[in-house]
Amino acid sequence: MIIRLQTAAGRDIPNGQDTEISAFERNWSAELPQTHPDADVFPGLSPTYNCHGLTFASRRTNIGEPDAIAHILADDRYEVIDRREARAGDIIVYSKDGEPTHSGIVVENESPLFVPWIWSKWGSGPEVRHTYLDVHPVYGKDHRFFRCRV
Amino acid sequence: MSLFTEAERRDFAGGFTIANVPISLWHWLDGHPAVRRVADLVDEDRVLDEFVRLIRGAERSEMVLAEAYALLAAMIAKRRRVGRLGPPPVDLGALRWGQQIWARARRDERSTGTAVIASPPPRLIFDQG
Repeated sequence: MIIRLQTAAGRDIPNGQDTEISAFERNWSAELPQTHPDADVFPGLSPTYNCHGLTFASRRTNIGEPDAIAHILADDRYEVIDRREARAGDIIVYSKDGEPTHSGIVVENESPLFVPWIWSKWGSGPEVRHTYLDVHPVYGKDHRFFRCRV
Repeated sequence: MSLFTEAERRDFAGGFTIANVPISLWHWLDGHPAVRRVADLVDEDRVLDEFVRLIRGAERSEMVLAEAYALLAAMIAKRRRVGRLGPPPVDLGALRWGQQIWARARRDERSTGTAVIASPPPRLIFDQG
């Protein structure tokens, strides 16, 4: 199913909702607390939305087109901020060769260390609270923090 | 018989499960030691045979699909090493992201040449670290 999703500039964002969670996804997600022991893995899987759906669409749908994230960031006036400036509600976007691979929401970033904690969703798997560099290598380590100015 | 170990196949499946976009899956597989090993040591016909066996099989589990993507990444790596990627050697329609990955690899190949005609889509510039 597709929902109507638009940027502040009225641009349509392609999206879609999946409906199934496989046995492998359940089993693999159950192992995340062991593979990422410092992260908080929350129970419950949903194929309805992915990480970008959590960050930009209130858990309603999957956003998979890399260009769509660039359009959202531009149209909704997201501005790059320094890691130390990031506050709860700001976002992080991970990338590979300039294309967004993952995103999440900053939930905590305390001085003096300024190691932001991120709330994100890992594919079809669970929502995870993790430090900003504690992600699966499929997402890469390149990242930027953004604040919405709309 | 698979070109990968059970542990490698399981690792692929984990990455496949949480990859949100084709580019991240492909780049991760492209740098994966097991994919590099296959790209280095196995001839293209053997890689292609195994790829076709997987995508034409009845099983569509994460383990099978992720392994097929790993073989696709190995095929791309092998062809890039000899110079030209060209069109895909087999229909990639059985893989949801297969055509996108091959197209992206070809686009990267063109963008490193001297005569770039098409403009790339909008991209973001990210810092490291």
